[in-house]
Amino acid sequence: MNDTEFLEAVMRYQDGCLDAEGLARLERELSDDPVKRRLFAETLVQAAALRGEFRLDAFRAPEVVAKHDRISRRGVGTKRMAVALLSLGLLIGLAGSGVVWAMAKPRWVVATSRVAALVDGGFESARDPVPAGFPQQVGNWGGDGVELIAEGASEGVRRLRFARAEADANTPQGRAIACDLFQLVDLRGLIPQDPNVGNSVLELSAAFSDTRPQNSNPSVSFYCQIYLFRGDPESIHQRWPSNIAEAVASGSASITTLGGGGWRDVTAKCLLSPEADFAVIHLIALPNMRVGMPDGLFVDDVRLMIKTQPLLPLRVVD
Amino acid sequence: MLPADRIAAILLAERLPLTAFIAGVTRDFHLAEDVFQEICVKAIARADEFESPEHVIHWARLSGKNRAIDILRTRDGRYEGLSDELLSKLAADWPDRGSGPLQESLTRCIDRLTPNNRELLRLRYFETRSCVDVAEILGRKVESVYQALARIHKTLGECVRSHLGQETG
Repeated sequence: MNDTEFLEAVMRYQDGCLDAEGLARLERELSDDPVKRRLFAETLVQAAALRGEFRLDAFRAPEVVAKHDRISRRGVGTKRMAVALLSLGLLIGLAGSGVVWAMAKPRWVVATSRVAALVDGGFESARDPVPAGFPQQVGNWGGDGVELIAEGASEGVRRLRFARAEADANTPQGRAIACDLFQLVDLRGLIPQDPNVGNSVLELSAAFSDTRPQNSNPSVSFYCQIYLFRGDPESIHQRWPSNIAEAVASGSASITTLGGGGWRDVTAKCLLSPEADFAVIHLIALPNMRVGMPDGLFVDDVRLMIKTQPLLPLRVVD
Repeated sequence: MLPADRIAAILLAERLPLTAFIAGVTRDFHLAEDVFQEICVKAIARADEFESPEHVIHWARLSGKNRAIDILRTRDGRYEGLSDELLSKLAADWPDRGSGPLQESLTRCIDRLTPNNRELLRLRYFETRSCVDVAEILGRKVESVYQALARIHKTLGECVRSHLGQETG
């Protein structure tokens, strides 16, 4: 294997597309050759640095991301931007340069409780049909074309099906590529008043299921996202999603599936900013090709938990 | 024995190579970043056990590897990847230079890429799309995407080494 062939094998390995024979060959090459091990390491470090570089790029000039996004139009671009901005949350949390880092001294007794302000995470009492569009009041589900199904739930009786992608109400000319579901959650009262309590983390989790046959195309990515905002929750719909950049904190997690059924839990974490008044819960099903929404995509058991001690050991200070 | 803030500083300085090493197990940078965070917490909890920065870094690699394999086994029911023996060998040799100089060099080297190659990298590493998806979006065959990625990494590696003034041998 010359260097180029070796790097191709590494690319396939990182993409999860190296067959058993290819994996065995890559293993042999790496075991036998210290130069290949060095090249493998450098390539992965370079890939990690590229990931950071593109995040920084988005941080410096977010509009460039939309411009470069070949499949982005206004509606598409804003959804992509949402993902990009959430990536920046991690960037600021872990990779930010030019900031000062301080230790959040860990307290090893972690108190966890469910946030009751996220209403009906199991969709057992949601209005049927679920109201279309971005919700205008806290405690209500709302979003694109979603349907409540009274069978096959992860917990309880009902689950929610991602049925249709629709453009955002504020960008009706945008092309719809993803099916979105939202809820506004009032956080006032959750913020610890005692400064000695330490930081708190919000953990948003949801169970997603792709019930298409195994190895169905296109792949579908499910996103579990949380944004924290200041101000009045009942006015945020007026400018959504262009006001995403005003979020004081955010977290995102995703999973990509090719069918096969089963429930997969996805958890997004976000430091609970003392400035936050409310959260936007955003769940997304995004087919990774420009096709209609595949049948058989579900979400259930949405939970918002608060932990009195963050998993993140570091925080940014001025 | 190292104080907790020193351990945090060491891990933060090594964030990039450590995350890359863990991504060699998870094949998913997002998950690797989560594992890195967990490792930071664990390291601080056992601060009194570390004798040197090298000790912290070596422990973090092995703990990150083990935690990543645990997560994959729990999530997928099995782990299919490089063997534990090989990963330990890789951990022993893994580069541990800080992130700053590499990132600076990479920024310069990326500027030399064609717009098409930049777009390919952006789709793969920023949007974390699979190579099948990248091929579909760019209207190329998936084979050519793997070849192009390999070629770009080779070119960038040479450029970065040149900037860092390292020997290529």
